Amino acid sequence: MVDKNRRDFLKIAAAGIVGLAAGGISGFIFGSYSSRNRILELEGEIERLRARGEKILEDELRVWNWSYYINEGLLEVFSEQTGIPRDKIIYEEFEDPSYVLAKLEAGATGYDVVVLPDYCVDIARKKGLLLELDKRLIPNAKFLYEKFKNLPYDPEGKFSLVYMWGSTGFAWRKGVEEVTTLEQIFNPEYGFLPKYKKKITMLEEATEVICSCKAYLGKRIDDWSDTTLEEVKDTLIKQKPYLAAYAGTNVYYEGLKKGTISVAQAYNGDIVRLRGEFSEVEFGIPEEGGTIWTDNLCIPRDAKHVYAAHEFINFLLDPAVSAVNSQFIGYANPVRASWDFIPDLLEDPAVYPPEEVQKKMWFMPSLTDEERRKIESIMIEVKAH
Amino acid sequence: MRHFLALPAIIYLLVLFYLPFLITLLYSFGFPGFTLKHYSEILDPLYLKVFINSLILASITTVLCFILAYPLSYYIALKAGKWKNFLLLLVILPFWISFLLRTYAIMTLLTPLGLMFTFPAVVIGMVYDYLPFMILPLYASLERVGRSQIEASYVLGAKPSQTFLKITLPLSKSGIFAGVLLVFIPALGEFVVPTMLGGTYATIGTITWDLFLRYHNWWKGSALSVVYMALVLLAITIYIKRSERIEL
Amino acid sequence: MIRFLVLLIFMFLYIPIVYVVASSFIDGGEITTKWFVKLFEDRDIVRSFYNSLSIALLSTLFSVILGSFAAYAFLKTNKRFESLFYTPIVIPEITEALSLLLFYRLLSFPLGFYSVLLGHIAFNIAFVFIIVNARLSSQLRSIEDASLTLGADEVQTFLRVTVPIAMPGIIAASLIAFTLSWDNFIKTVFTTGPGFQTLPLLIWSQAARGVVSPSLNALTTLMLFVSLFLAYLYAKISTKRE
Repeated sequence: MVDKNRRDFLKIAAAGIVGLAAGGISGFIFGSYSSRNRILELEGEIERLRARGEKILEDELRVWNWSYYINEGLLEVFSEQTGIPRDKIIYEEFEDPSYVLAKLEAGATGYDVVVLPDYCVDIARKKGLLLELDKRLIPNAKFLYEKFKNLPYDPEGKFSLVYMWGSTGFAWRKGVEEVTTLEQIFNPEYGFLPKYKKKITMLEEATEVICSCKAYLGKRIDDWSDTTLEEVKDTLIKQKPYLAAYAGTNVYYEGLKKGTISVAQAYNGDIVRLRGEFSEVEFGIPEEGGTIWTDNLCIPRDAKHVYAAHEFINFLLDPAVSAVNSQFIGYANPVRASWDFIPDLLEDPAVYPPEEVQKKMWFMPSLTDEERRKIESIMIEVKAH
Repeated sequence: MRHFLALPAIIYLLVLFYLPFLITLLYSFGFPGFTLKHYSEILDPLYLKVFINSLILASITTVLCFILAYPLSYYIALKAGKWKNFLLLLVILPFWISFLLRTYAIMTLLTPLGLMFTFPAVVIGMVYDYLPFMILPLYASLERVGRSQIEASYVLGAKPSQTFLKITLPLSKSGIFAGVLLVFIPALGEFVVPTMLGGTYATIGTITWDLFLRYHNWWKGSALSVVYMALVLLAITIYIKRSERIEL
Repeated sequence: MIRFLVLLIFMFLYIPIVYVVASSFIDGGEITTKWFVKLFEDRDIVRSFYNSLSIALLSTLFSVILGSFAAYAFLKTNKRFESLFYTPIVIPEITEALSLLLFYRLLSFPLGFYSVLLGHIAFNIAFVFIIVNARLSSQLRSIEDASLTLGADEVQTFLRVTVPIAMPGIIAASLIAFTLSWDNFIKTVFTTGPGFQTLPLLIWSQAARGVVSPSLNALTTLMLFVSLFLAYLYAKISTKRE
């Protein structure tokens, strides 16, 4: 039934396009020259195919996502709804989104839909590596919670739609002192760092570390002045001797489980998953705040099956689908209408932080090239120190 | 005639290694632009420190690998008889398990010892991963040292230690060189082990990785790689030239 | 005395392995074989295994042939040019991987099985060259000359004298090349395309989320025992060589 509605919508959209095309393309199309051309191409195609009464969906789809980040049963549902054969839906998992970026920069990924974290969307968007989304093909975008639209790393929301979101905070093993303030993490004199020396990790992602440090110093997240960054660098250098590592999930997950690590700056989703097999771990967001991270659905510029890609994105944003997905993978989704179906997730502060906590949190900022260079030089200096 | 036998390999490497490397070279100069700034940024003493870190780690790893590998290779080559190949397989079998699974196992074993995220942990991990690269070349050249030569040496009255020092060791020189080459050089550029076991120990490998994938600075990453490679290749060439003069 | 050392070193090599094998039989607190059952039901794992195996076998085959001949040819020639074969070992793997990716993209070469294979062979040739080179001695020349003097022709000399002498080196090189390909991650991840996944890629992508499926432990255990068994049989059967 939902399927039929979508087809109807497409027909109406196509009719609207024909009408508009007659009057010339207006400010309906924005974005880069190549995107404009692409959309012109696509619209022209819709017209032609509509005239021939043919189905426009391609019969293949390639998706690249994190591991453990979808209810694979949904792929069957999608296959049935759209008629794309299940074995033509290639769903693969990457280890690190920087590989996706590298392939995008090198020219092609080979995929139609990729799930990229916020900081990657920022980079990919600026370099023109993503296809502009045709929102007319994604009507379910209207279900997104206002807060998750037009985020700093994609101001007009043209290249990405939030898939799942969560928070960056700290995880600690039961028995370890609770992490309530960043003083514990960045100020050796507070006593926390020496107490757990070499048992604490910070994230590999430089921006997370630096933003967290800025929050501790009481600076604004978008403050990239040299004086602030000098302070950040000094703080990080002072912190480093107490750190076990700059660790990503593949290190701190095992580490927390085995007791090698007592405290880790971590992504909430990992800890929720860890709690499933090892209950002796807690997650919290310090009072100074943390990042609201997002993973986003994007279409690479070189995608071959563009309609199927849009269709899939639309599918994932369907409230029912989103609810089922969230429930299965244990992550918070941005689809407001789905929240009524997942009350127990909503109650879990590690998945959906309460409003007062969210007020102190920030989204991943957009970075200019110069800011990136500054980050690079700080981190290299800190790591080499 | 026999020189042409090397041609396929040379052509292969030229096309599938050196041509791509040309691209790296271009990037190091700021392709599509042209600039030397990426190189000048590397002249920072910071990178020297990182390079020294890598040297220390690689040297210790190589020495330890050698100490552990030599007895093993010696035994397999000269004392194992028909079980030679079986033992060789036994040596390599652990490395058919994914690197990650092995490393997690090492993490688990090192944790109760309180050694995780320390320099010794990195060394242990490195030695573990690089051991076959020392064992196998050593074996290959030791096996060549015929038992008859050793027996002849005994017959002529030499003590086992003399035999070892004057006959076996020198004859396995090429194997030692190969083993050192195959351990020291890759260990210099190693990235994963220091990252997973060593926490904050920075090496050329980790910085290069960061430059390419975390800071998305392909230019500087390329420049760093080129400088690093030039230095290492220079050192190797000098060493070969010198040993050539000494060799028979 | 040396036997004791050898035993110790083997223990060092195998302690992590024992841990991995043990984990494949444990679920929660109990002993079970369920991971082995799940292993065969997982299409992704089986396919990745097959992919990894074919890449490893083929890259070993080609790199050993190319590399061994090159080592043989270089025995007497200018040692200077040997460095040509050393560069693939010097280059940091990430740099090599990305340069290959850019190279393939430049040629619009499709990423998948072949792009991965070609990259592996290049890298392995260097390792094979160095190992076989170490094996072949300068005395080989005199032994070959002796053989020729005794009336054998070049081909016979090659097959009956040179190859057997080189064999242990070739075996050692093959084992290394196979292992390098089989467990390779960085080069593979950047040169592969959708639809072609190898075992390390699968394992790493799961580890990135913290949980490596225990079925993979089971796979490892299985591989280990099968290889051990086959090797043992082979050793038992082969006649005692001089």
